[in-house]
Amino acid sequence: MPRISIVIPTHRGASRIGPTLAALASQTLPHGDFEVIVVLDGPDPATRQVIAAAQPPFTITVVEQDHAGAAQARNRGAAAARSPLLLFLDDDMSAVPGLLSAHLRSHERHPDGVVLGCFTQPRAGHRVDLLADGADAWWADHFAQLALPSHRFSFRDFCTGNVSLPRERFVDAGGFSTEFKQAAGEDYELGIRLLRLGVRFRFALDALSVHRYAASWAKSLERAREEGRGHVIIARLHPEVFPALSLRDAVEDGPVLKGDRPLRLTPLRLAAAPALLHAPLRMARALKLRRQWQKLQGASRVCAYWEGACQQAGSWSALQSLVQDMPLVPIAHHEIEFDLATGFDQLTPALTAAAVDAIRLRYGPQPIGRIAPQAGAESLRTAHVRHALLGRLAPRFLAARAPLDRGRHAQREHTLVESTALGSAG
Amino acid sequence: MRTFIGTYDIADPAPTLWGAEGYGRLLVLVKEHGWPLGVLRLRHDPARTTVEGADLQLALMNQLGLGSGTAAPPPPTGGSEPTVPLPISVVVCTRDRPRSLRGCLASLRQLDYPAHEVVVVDNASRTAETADVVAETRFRYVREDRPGLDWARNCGLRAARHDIIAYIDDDARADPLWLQGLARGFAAEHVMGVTGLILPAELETDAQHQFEIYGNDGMSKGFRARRWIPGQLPPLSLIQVHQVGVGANMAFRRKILEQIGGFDTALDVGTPSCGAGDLDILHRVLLAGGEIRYEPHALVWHRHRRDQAGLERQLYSNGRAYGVFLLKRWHEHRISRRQIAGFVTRIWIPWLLGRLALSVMGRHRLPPRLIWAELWGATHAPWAYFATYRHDRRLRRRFGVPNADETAASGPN
Repeated sequence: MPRISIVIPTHRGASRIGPTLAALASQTLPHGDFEVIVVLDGPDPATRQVIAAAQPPFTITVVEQDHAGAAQARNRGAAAARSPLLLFLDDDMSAVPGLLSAHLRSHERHPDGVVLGCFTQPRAGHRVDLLADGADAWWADHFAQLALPSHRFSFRDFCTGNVSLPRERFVDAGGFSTEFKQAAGEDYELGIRLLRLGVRFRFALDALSVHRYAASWAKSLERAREEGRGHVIIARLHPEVFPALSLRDAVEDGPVLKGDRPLRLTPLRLAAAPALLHAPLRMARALKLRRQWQKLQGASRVCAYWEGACQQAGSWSALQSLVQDMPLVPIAHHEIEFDLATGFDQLTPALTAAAVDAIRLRYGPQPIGRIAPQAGAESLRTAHVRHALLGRLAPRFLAARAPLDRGRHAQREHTLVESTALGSAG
Repeated sequence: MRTFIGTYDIADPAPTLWGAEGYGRLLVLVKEHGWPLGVLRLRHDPARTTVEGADLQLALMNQLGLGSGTAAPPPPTGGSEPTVPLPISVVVCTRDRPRSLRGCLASLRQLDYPAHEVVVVDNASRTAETADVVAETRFRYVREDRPGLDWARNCGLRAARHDIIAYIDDDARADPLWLQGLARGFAAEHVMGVTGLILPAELETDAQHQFEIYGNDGMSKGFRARRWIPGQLPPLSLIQVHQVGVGANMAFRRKILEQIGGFDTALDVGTPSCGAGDLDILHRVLLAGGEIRYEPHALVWHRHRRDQAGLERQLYSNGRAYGVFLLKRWHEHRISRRQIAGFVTRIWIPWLLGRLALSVMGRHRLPPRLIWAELWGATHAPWAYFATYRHDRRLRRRFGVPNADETAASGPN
């Protein structure tokens, strides 16, 4: 039996699937240890031909469905999988040779979690491409965040391009929602349900793939529109994550682009914005005016996002009334108070006893600070608390403990931050 | 600008407020053994996550004149506590706001009161979600198909089993001691109605802050108990019943409501009048000789409208509804018309115009647009008055209810 099943949904992907399969053929993992399931979203003889011609050395299953979107395709693929682990890979992802072993290694070390892979976007030549530059910077920053041990994973970290999880967890959570037709966000939505089940997310830097993706302005705008639609669906399904969505701006008077004057989003303005901004954008792009271009493209993406959101809700006023009774601040379902004077090693048992969303830290009678709940984020771990104590709460923490400890353990040498004590209890 | 809303009990020896990170201001309700004493308004450093006892006690001294612990006023829990708790029926009227309703019902589950029931009146909701939300609880669900808040209130009155009916809005949350507070107001047999304290449940948006400025303290009527004893009242206070209370937190004895014929179904949200159902009932209870008390211990947290457009609509409705209320009084002719005319020409309109002038000159904290909304609403009152009674007659015809059924409806025919 294979150890991992790779699910690749594709929609008219004849030109993309070839290199993806070729990259999988050169994996360090023995070919017998994995299987590949390609789900054709809509009848697609051309892609079938490419797959047949490739003659991959591993087991490959081709599943076909009527065109129903990637979410449905991934669910089909997962249903056809035979191994206990699922890896969702996009049809434009070239796995580096160690990708599959890296995923497997991470699952062996920490079973029963989600492993988020990493990807890079290669660039041809030395041309300055502002759009691709922006996307690269965003992803690099995103992965750098995920790689921090103190990162608090949230549903927004769950992307389907290169991610693996036990099939059982996928089934428990109920698979991808098929409600997202013209919308993006079924990955976020599954992320919310997985986190709610208490599934741990981990990031594997070595589970690397290469994203062969050509950024285009039209695609970027369409993506923003799809996100707007998707966020409305997510807000309806899971109001508790609403504080983490950009839709929050609709509660007042729409997004604020500059200063504190809100951008009033009349339908006319929304419709006119991309057209009006298009010419200056092209000019800024041609002249390589990076700052101006970024501002303009930010504004157009914001407009596209809200256009999508309004489409999904029906109208701007429908959207506004939809968000009026959403929660505006993250809800702490379980908030605990912890006295650091009892010892940092007591923290881990306190955090593992139940899922904790927020924690109030004190040192004896002295309050140190609070780690606030975060909408749609994983429950607190020791690493999060340690990071806060060594970072933003450090001055208060040190001030609180200095006078107490000096008297009590005068003979013991104390370093300022007791990195040994803090470090051992992880 | 955001304001954190917290609670602080002066009986707590080491008080700390948690969770104010990211907020620039604080509104702290001071309680003693659960009973509200007053509010503190403080500035806050958004980077700090806690507010400590020393800061709170200093503010307590400066703003409320209370020393820390030693000089605390006598606890309000005197001997006035009724020995046998009066059974109370809580009525929540709602229409197509399932998420708000869920929050309201969650707070009602926490009520600390031995003898009460909760009746949720679904006022012609277009979706079944409201029924689903109520089904999650063990509260009673009643449906009223005729749209209009006062229809729902009457329906709640009929469905309620107890002799005291307490009304709360679906966008409000009750304090656990809410009913105990109301019961204190009803301790005397002759008290016919009790209204209570309303504080903001959240102050996250500009519109919510502006609403607080608008009514001096939003819907709050202060922390001192007051009473309105018919016979000892100047005629003007029968007109200015908005000082008595708000529909989001009011309770009546069943016998007075039945005696005066219940709520006027032509009024309040869902009809062209856009409100005034609460003003009307408070006025008629006083007119019928029932004493009304304001009991600050009966606390309800109200979530104000979050968006500017909603706030503007709300203020417009307030102006319009107040005008409808006055026109109804004029038509009824039970209080002197000179009083009413005097109130309008000497108090109400000059007050609105004065505020508008101040605002235009930049001397008022509210933008002219909002004050104008109220004035604009007031100018629509005559039309709204005729429209709302015409609407009511049509509705009654459609549902086959005779006009004389509820004597309260005494509009123009």
